[in-house]
Amino acid sequence: MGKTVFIGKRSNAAGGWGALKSCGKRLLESGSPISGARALMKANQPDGFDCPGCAWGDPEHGSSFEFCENGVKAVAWEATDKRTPPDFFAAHTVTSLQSWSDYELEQQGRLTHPMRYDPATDTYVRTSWDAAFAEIGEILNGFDTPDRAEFYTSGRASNEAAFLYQLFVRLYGTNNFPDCSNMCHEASGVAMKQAIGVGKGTVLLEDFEKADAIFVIGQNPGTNHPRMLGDLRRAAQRGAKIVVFNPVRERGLERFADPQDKLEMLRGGSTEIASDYLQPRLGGDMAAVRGMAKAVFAADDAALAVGQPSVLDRAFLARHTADFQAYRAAVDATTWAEIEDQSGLTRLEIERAADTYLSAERVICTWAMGVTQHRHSVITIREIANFMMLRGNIGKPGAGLCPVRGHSNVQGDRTVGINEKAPAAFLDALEKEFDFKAPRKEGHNVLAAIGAMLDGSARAFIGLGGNFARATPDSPIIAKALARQKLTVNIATKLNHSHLMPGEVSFILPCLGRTEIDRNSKGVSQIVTVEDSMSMVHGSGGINKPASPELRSEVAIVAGIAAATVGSAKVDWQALADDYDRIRDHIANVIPGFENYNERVRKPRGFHLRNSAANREWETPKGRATFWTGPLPAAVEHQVARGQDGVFVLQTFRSHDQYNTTIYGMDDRYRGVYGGRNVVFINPADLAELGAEAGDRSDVIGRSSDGISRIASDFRFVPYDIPRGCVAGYYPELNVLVPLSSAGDESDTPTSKSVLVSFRTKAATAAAA
Amino acid sequence: MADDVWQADFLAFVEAIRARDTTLSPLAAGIVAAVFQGISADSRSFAKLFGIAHALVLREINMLSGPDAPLEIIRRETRTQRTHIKLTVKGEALCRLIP
Repeated sequence: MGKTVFIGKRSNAAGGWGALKSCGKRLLESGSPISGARALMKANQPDGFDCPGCAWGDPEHGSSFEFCENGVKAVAWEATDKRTPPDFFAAHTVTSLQSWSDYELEQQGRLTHPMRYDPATDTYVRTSWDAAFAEIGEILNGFDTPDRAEFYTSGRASNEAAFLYQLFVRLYGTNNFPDCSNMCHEASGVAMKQAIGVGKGTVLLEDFEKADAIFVIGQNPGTNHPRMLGDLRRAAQRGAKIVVFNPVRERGLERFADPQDKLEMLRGGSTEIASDYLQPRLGGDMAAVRGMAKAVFAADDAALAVGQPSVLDRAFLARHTADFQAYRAAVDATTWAEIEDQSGLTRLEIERAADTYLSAERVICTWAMGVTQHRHSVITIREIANFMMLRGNIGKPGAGLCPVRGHSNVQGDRTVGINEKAPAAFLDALEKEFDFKAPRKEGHNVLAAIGAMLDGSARAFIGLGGNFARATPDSPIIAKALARQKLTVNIATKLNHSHLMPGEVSFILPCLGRTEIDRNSKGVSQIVTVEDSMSMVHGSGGINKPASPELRSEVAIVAGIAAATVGSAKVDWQALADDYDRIRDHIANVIPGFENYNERVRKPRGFHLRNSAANREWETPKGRATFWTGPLPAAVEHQVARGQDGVFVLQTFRSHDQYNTTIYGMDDRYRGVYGGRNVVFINPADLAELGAEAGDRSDVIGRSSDGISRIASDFRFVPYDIPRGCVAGYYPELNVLVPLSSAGDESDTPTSKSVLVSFRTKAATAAAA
Repeated sequence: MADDVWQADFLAFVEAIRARDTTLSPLAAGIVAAVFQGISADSRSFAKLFGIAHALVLREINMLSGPDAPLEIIRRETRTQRTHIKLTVKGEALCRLIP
């Protein structure tokens, strides 16, 4: 370019908005000159930014974080100016910090330096990265078998960090991969794999624009996936019916005011989301879905009787499914009395929901942990799949199954190998790519890992993110398990209670957050990738400066531990940590669907991992979508509870100021609770029967049959719109009541949505005294 | 001024900045230009006016600010991440005519 021309400062601000936006497009081009007429080169656009707030799909990759309350909180939480430097640890013993709340610990801010626990002073003291890696490697290599170590993964970990982590762990020699998926959507993966051959949802975000009806079961998107409310709102506005099954009346599912709709905000209006809101009892979803199937069969019989076409998709059933007749027989054998009793809904309510299903050509069914954290979750999800198959609502536009994941990359972590029982094809490919013999023995999931730590067969816990001790059930038992370890390592951004249960040797290794710019040794910023609930793989680059110059990326920390433990003969860990493109090249070579990974992930929105079931290819043993043909459970917890005086079924859930174990604040504004978290939501009639009033305090007593005493002390009653016999409260505070011994059949997921409890009110205790 | 003329002027100015500092991306130079011309002085209004994802603007600003950089961060709003900026001496010099 020749001599530059000074244009100077303008008195009037700018051209029209159109001109500014046009300029904006040009500024996103990375090439030069920008003033030329060259078309926008999308492949050269700046790297996107994936909101760490949840795993919902992202149509406009980059700024969704600021249009969503969760996204804002998640980004602000990480971008805090507060720090937890070595001086903080010097001033506080671990024992003293154990009395702090989760909220107080995280409010201290970002970790800044690698720290090692010093038992003599009961404090963490600063260490160097090299010293930490060397000692971790030495201890891991000192075990008689690699199975002594448990390698936990939080759903925050990127594809790159997770892939490298599993590679290191398998080179080390074990498949012990407890991960947060074990505690949330494991049942979805198990059930869908059995039913349709793939353990992931079959819909894309675009399907929500085409659906005639959306069934939302056991899910509270207003708090857990707020961006989903935008899609539900748009669906409702164009006339789609939204049927909600949730024991708790959740405000966000009833009406939603989109903060991006200025007219709606100015008028103080909102859009009605749920066209029908049904409140089954806890654990009653399967019966409710079976009831709808029964109503559909009745409608089909009626249509055929008068010579009308079948209301079922007979062509789909004949061509694509197996065991349909056996399912029909199972439904016929289930009486309305059983269905009403177990679901807690009336036949009329269920038939009304079935009518919505029958009047819709395209139906999506979404669900979350209200479905997955029960003993019979797997068969409940099988029942949902059954129901959807009746009218061919899998594998066509505007229809499908949609388990909505919580953490932003929990699905991706499983895809890239965080799996204690990884498929043989994956292990074969990994062996071929890296020329080693991978362990084939099934490893530990979360419950097995806890068991191994408790019985002494596991001696090391490495946590790639998360807050294991608080996320898991039976919190005091987990504390004991961690304290028995020879080695604990927590890779983290902020201090949490899992760090305060040190073993013989313990490290806190501070890492970059998703929001932070991750530069390699050449100063080039790197991107990581994640997979959302719709199997879209996005690239994400940081946007803020790192909280401390000492921080390392999760990838770099995994590489450091790996190099110190298994050496670099097979894998050049340092080179991979310095260039994530190389990790992605390996992933592309190992996992089908990731071809041209580096190229495709840099396109806006990334790329979609092909879903065989969405294409009506059924990778099941029968080669078809397969009906589950069993009966309803003999009894679910609320049926058990009502036979015992004063026993309730408790579900734990998040507050609105919370993201998994991370507590952003003490309020839950959608539910009208402010300034405290030790509350129990209860039906007003049940409250009266207990002789208590709103605000009264009570201990919550676990009523598990395993003989272990479990008490959550001093909780406040909040009358709420929830079915009788059912109560709810926040985790992690109530995790002390969730028995480790109670897990989902086939999924091993803790049954956090069906915990038997009773109450010991303070008034009653005082009167007795 | 017609939009297309204004647009051409603005982009020419951005190019001029980039010619003087070849390390700047078009977006970075655009932010510098917008601050200099009084169009916007914070990340969010720039993002909104120019139709660019706020995250991308934040990233540029964070990579661009520093002791020897054209931009200085004045303050950041915690909730929205809106980041208020001003030109440093270097940034001002970058935007002025080099004889």
